[in-house]
Parts: sequence; structure tokens; C-alpha cells
Amino acid sequence: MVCLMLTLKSYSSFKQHTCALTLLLILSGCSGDNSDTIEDVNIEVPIEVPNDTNQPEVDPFAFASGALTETVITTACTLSDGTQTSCYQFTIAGAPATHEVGMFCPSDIYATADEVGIWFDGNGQVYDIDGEFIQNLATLYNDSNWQLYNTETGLVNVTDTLEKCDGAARPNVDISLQNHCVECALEYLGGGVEATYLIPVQPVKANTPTSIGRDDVGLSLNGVAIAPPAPVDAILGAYTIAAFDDCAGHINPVAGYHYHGSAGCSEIVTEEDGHAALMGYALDGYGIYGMLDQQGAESTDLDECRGHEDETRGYHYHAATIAENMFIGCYSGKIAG
Amino acid sequence: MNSIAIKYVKVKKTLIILCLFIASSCILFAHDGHHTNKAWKACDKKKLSDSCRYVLQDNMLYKGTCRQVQEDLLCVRNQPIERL
Repeated sequence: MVCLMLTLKSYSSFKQHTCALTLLLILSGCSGDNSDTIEDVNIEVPIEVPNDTNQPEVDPFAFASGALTETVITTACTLSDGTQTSCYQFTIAGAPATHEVGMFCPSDIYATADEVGIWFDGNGQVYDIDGEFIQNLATLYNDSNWQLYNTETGLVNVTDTLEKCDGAARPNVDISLQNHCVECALEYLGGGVEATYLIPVQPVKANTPTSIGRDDVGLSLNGVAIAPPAPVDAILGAYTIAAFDDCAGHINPVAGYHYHGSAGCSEIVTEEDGHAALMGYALDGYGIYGMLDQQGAESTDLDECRGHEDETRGYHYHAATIAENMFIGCYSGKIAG
Repeated sequence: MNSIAIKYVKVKKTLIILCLFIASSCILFAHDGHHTNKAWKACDKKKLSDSCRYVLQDNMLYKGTCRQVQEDLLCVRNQPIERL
């Protein structure tokens, strides 16, 4: 059994005319079983009157053990409209704490679905990248230039070195790397690529939604970046398949491992009322939940960002399907920076 | 105009042309291929926050709202997928 022990200490000289709580979170085995992991996380939480008292704050304790590599701190931050507030600073490991990474590309055209990853292009389907898929690419995309395998040996062209992965996972793919199944290994990068995010402690609704750019949309509870839609058309335009693993994540040399779809792999905080599980937080601090509730139904009152409000969770988002190559449609809240 | 000034104007022209070329290349790349995807095509002639819909696999109806994602408008579904 794991228990939480919180000790609170107030500071009278904290900036912004507030007090601060230092929460010492000790995750320890309460049953006397010494095999449990013990972690200390120092979290400074400023006390401020929230703008929206019905809106739950971001929960730094929701993250899986190993998802974060640095102590969570709070820091003063400026939101998109100039509002001064407090943000959590999260540094994610960049590698999932709750599952293995991969598999991605097939080695040959005889590979079966259980040996490979997936591909989605936003057109409603999720494909297993098995041998049949590789052989069918020219038909699927109605372009005879697709030839991802050697017709004599049946071997699939895979970017199996750092140089190849680096060359194929960027715009203007060299012709020698076209017609490749693209996969990279975390070993090439020395492990997960850490990333730091500032998330408002208390999410603040914006008057109008903010559009999603090229930056990450948020972070998952298991320590992985939640990325904007993958540029599948550019990928396909280079006659490449940037394979995803079954958790809808893949690796590039710059961003490391990141998710482009919600496959349930980070939905680790279940809800007691049958609601979908929490999988992460968007940059505006609102929670991102799985698409379906525990009865398999999808909400019918989502707004243009794919969010809505309820009494328990306040405003929150629901991820789209993997096949749609997205999580949320925009930010309803103000984001930092 | 002396030769240094002429050279300066030529270099400036070349730089401007080069910048325009690079800029147009980036724009082309950013938009390249979105035409193949119905979720993006559904908002081709619409504006931000317009409602949108598209059909995939012949009988699956997606209904949502046009939102800007990266440079383009994307039809972000906000209703359950309907089977036609």
C-alpha cells in the first residue's frame, strides 16, 4: 500500500503577497513492505484566490512514478493575456514510465500485426504496419512510386541507424531515404529527451480559444510529450511511413518519444463515477481525458476545442481517436509564456 | 552610380529573391499535402469557428468545428462519429 504524507510549511516572505506551502510528498510503503519505492518531491504551492473556484487545480501528484525527472516547483508566470499568476514547472522524462517503447517497422513483408507498430494518416483508419500493409502502399495511396521493400528478398527498408533516422525524420528527405519505414531508437539519443513545461496551477478560461501551433499541446501523466498532429502529408509526400508504436508514439532525434494520438497508454488516473480516465494536462492546465467513458460512450456536448465542463472535474478535454491524429482542437484556457 | 553601389544593389536584389524563394518554399511545404486529408479539406473554404463535416470510409460522418492547427484550418470533430 502506498500512502501520502504531506507536511505544510508557510513562508511569510513569498513574492506576490502570498504565502507558500511546501509540500513534502513522501511516497512510501505503509505496509512495512520495503520493496515499495520511496520518492521525495518538493512542491511549492502559492496560496492565491483562484479565479474560478469550481475549477480543480492541476494535480502534480497524478503523475506516474518516473514520469518527472525534476522536482516540481511553482514559479511566477505570465499568461497569454498578460495575467500574472503561478505555474507549475514540470520536467518530463521524455520516455514513458508506464510502458515499453516500440515496436515500429516490420523487418520484412512477412511480418504480422503483433510484431509491428501502427500508422494513421488522419483519414479515419489505424493500420497495423504488417507485411500486407507494406505491400499495399501503392494501392492505398494510389501512387506507384511507393516501394518500401526489396521485391527479391522481401526485406523492408527501415531507417536502422541514427544517420538514417535523422535524415528521414525531417523535411526535405533525401531521395536515398525515400521509400523507407522510419523508426528511431531512444538509445540513439541516450534515452528520453527531457522537456520542461510551465502549466498554470489554476487554469484560467480565455475569452476566445487559442489555436494550436507547432509546439507540444501538453504532457502525459507517464512523462511523454503530447504533440500536435503529425505532419502525415509531408511524411507521405516523401514516400515514408513514420511508424508509431501501439501507444501512438514515435521518436524523432529532436523531440524524442512523443504521442500523436491517445491510445490509452497514459490513462492512469481512473475516475470513480464512470468518467473517462485522466491521461495528461494541456498547456493551459485543463485535464485531458480519454475519449470514452467507462460505458464506451463519447460526450455529445464537446465544444470546438473538444472540451466541456462537469461538476467533478470542472472544464476538461476529451482526446479524439488515434485515427484523427490529434488530441484536442484548441486551448480554451490561457497558456503561459 | 559607382561600381560599389551597383554591386550593393545587385547583392540586395539577390538577397530579396533568395528570401522570397525560401519563404515561398516554407509556405508550400507547410501546406503541401493537406489536400489529401478530408479533415483539412473540410475547412478549405471556411473560416475559423465555422461548423464542418466530412465522410470517411464511405459511411462514417465526422462533424465538428474549423480550428486553426499549425497553419491551416482543420475540422476538429466534437460530435460522436455517426454511421450513415
